[in-house]
Amino acid sequence: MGRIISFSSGKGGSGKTFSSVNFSAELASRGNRVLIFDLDINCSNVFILLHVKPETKLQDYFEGNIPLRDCILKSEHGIDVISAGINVQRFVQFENDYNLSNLATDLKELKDDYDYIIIDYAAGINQMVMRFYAMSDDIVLVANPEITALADLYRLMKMLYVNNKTNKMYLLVNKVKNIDWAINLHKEVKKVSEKFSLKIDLKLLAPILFDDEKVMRSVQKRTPLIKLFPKTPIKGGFALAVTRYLNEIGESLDDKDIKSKTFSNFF
Amino acid sequence: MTEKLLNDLNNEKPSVRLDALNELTKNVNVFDKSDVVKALKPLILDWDEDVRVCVAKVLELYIGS
Repeated sequence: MGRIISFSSGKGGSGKTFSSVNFSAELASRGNRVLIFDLDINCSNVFILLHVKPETKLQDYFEGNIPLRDCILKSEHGIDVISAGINVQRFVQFENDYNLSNLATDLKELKDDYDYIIIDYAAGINQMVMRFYAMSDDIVLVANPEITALADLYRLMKMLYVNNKTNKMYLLVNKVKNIDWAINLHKEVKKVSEKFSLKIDLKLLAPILFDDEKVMRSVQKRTPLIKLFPKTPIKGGFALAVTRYLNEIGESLDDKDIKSKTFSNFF
Repeated sequence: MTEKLLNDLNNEKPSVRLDALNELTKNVNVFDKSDVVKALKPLILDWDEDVRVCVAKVLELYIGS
């Protein structure tokens, strides 16, 4: 049975979709079956980054003509995609509770077919998608080291905590110039959480370095950056993030080098 | 820490980076600890997993000793 991982961010522009796609590509490169469910109804773009035809069958699904499984699109990068596309707003704006409830139930059933299902949300959070967070096994928060990031991240964590009673979350700090930026942001968020008695165990997965040019080229080529530029620190960042995540969920129990692979004495 | 060693840590070949890391392991009482830690930090995000594992071990040696 697979795990559902929610990728979320407090504000737009944090690189959440970039992160979820590359995290998925790293999982897939290790032999895992991965599905990305793009739940960003108004600005769905996972299909662009993975070079998948922008056809969405979700409209047919919502009309009851096909099962959710038939909405899966195969990408050339070994990652499957269900894209919200651009024609489904009315299905989730009207009668939304019924449709979203069915969608969540059907998505959960796909856990049998995949090792990991990654849900990519729109920035921010609302009650409409809360059921998807509730059924997630893990939540990965993506943040930038910007001045407003701390406040946005804290608000998001608080909302998730209050609504789901989730006390463990993972943090991916994107667009940093060096490792210390990520470590400092992580420390600051933890400090604020403790100050306001938010009992959240927030694990820093890894820093992802800023490299605008490579990100742009990966988007132009519609290929995950870690596949297009496999010998870069960004690849190292996602590899470290996935290794640390897999260790946290108990997937590395037999690995004698895991302490070194996760830098457990350093982070 | 010598300039050659610093260059080798940033060499594009993982085998050269690993040799440089082994050199650091052998000279733990010789080199300035803060210089070594500063040089090793970027290598935590090395794309090669063998290098990353070695970096973790050398970092432990220099931070812990």
